[in-house]
Amino acid sequence: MKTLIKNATVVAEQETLQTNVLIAGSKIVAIDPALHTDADETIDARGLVLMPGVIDDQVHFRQPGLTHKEDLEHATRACAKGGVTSFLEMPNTVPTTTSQQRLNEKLDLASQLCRVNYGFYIGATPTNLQELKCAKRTPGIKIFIGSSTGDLLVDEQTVLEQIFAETTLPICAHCEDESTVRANADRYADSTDVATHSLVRDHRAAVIATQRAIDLATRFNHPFHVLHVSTADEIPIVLAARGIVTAEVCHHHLFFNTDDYARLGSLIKMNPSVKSQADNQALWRALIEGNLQVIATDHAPHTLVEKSQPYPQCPSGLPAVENSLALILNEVVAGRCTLEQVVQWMCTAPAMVWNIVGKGIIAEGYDADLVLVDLDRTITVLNSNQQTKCGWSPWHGTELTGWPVRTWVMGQSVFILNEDNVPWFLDQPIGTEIQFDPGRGGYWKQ
Amino acid sequence: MPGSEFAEFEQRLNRPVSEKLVEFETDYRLHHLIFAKQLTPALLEELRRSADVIRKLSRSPTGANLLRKLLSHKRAMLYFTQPSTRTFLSFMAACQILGLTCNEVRDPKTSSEVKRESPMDSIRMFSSYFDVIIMRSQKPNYAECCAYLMNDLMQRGKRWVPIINGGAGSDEHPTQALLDVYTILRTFEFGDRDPNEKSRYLELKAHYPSLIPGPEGKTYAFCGDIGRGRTVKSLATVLAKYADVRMFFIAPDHPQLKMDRSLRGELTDAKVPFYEFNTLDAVHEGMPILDQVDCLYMTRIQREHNTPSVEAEIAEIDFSHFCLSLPRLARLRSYVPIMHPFPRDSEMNEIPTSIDNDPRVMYFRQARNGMWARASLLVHIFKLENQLHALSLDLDLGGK
Repeated sequence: MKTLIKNATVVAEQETLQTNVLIAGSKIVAIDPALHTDADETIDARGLVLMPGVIDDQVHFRQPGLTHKEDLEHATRACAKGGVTSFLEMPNTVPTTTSQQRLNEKLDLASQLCRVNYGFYIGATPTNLQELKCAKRTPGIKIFIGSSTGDLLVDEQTVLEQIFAETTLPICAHCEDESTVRANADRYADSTDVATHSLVRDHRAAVIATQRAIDLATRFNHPFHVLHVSTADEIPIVLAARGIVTAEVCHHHLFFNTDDYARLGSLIKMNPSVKSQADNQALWRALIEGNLQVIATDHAPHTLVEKSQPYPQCPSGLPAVENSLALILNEVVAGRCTLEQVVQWMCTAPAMVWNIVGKGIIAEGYDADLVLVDLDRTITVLNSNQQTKCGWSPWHGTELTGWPVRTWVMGQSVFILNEDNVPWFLDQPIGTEIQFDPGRGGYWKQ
Repeated sequence: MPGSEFAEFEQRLNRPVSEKLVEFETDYRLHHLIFAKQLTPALLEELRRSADVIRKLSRSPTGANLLRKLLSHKRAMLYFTQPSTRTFLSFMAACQILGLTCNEVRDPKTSSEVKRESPMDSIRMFSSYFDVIIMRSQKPNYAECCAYLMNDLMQRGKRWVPIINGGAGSDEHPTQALLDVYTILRTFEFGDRDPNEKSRYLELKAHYPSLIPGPEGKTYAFCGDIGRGRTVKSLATVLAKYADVRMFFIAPDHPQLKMDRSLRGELTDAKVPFYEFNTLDAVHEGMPILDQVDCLYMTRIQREHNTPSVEAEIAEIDFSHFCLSLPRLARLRSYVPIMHPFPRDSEMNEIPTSIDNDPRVMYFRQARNGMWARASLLVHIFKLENQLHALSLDLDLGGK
């Protein structure tokens, strides 16, 4: 099967230019403005932007075990709609992904259900060092440093040191200091106001844990990725460890702050918590100045019934994959960042951080994971339009300009949005397992 | 007529301030500070954090030395041709804290203006020797025009430098608003940064149940020369951006002295409820206003601008209604910051020296805060906030 995409503005590896892109099978085989060739399908994409598919390096798709909230089928349909062609999923499913056997089982399940490409982290526990040392078919190791997530909490310094010293895969971590969080929780024990969440999971909790994890990474010279940086105060810590440490920021920490609790309540209860407007700005600035490398969603759905429990019972987490690219493209349209920056933050950088083979840029020989984007398309996010199984979005009612209108996964069209904004999906699990090459040494070595 | 001197910028000058703001920032960062309106709550929060770190580092010789290295490779020009000692010294101290070399022009006769050099040429010449220009001049809109000049140079890929408005002419005085808000933010934190210490806030809350930390949800009272006090206008405009605030304006019922149309329009647009009174003893909704305020900003009646006829009218006014006497002080809540941009009027006595030792008095601390706040602004403009915070982390960790 050959597809020819003509006249799109292509955000290619070296430059952005109007050109033609030829897909054959699962690969990009030619990028050439003078290209005339027979293809099975020819698309005139004049006026549209072609960019690499988004790689979301932090999602929670809840399968197995929590499929009343989300499952791989719904979540990857949402990915296709959002222009996300690959995802890396976190290990806190039920059961947890903490051994090679569980990892293999999850990969099997994914091969039967996923509409986009998939990869799964292996979770660290206080006792699974051997598994972590010889894990295969995974981007890396996820550690929850000081956040109670069942048996995944690793808070013992000696265990942490062993993991950093004896494993070779890249490590990423959720950094919030457990003792700070507990002390704050005691202090505000009487509160039933959800805004208290940001006082309990405060700046200090984030800063202390990030500092601690980065100290380990630099001491053992171990490639390390800080997940969801939420405060301005973590930026200088990350910056000081350039060359070994990379960092990610999530949409909710860029777009929401404590002022939004009044409007959105527990819908924006997240771990780490949303912080102040000043933090929103500092995080944007850090992205633009190259001090944070990756944007990801931390897509973590719960049902609205679960979310509407009173504080503190209501769970933390929100869905985002199907709006993640549009939210950032909306900023491009507003002139606050460029298409090239978006591709770097959401496609190229995650591929580099996790040593992903054949993805993240548009170049000949690379996988044909592509998104066609219409920067003139304006759509209002509505709960009723969401593909995620939980059926709501914290951006309900928000009008965004700049949307994916077509998505290819390994050369196959998986999503098309027609001119009346009616979506079409290829209802087959054609996603493939993402290949990793840890020998590349991560973001700073490439 | 200023129009002729700055003719090339006239179109840009004649726009509403809200349309101009975007031109003075790039990538979520100010590159010039011209208007108080540029000080958003998010930026003020960032500047507060930086100012706190600068203040903390300055306490120790090690910290102070580290700070002086931050900008030791940069030079600042203080172009202060309008007489001002306080703001000038405050900026100079801020530069010195960060190691910025500074030089000054205080008398326009020493510059080439006497050789009929245009003011724009002067600034472009100065900008070649310096990395930032902080200016205060008699000429209205001079700082703003310099910012446009620099923007034009930037767009052509030429060398440009940031412009900071040090309160030029009758224009705005944004760094005064900055230090005022910094003082307010510090005060309404209620000394409550360490969760392990017994909270002053919780003690206060026991007396004042509706009190919340932070600048939101407060009643701000401004007293004295509201009409001509540019510090009041700048500060009120900035505070209007915080949620659930209301404002009291206490001024003599005289067209020059009471609230003017522009401020009234600003606050109406911002949906801030405001109320006007003509004495500090006024009652609002059945309660004395002094019982209701969270922050009291006093000002001096600016008599030096008066025409003889206005002076005659003003002589008739009983100014005791706008002075903070001891009985009035006694009504104020125990946490209310008493602020004043200074100088105070030793004849009118709007703030008698007898209250200077009251713990609520902030006017001397306000001046010191000005130095920290201006230093934090320089850190922001030179994109050094991450390096600054890294210094503080290093120091906390004993040098690591």
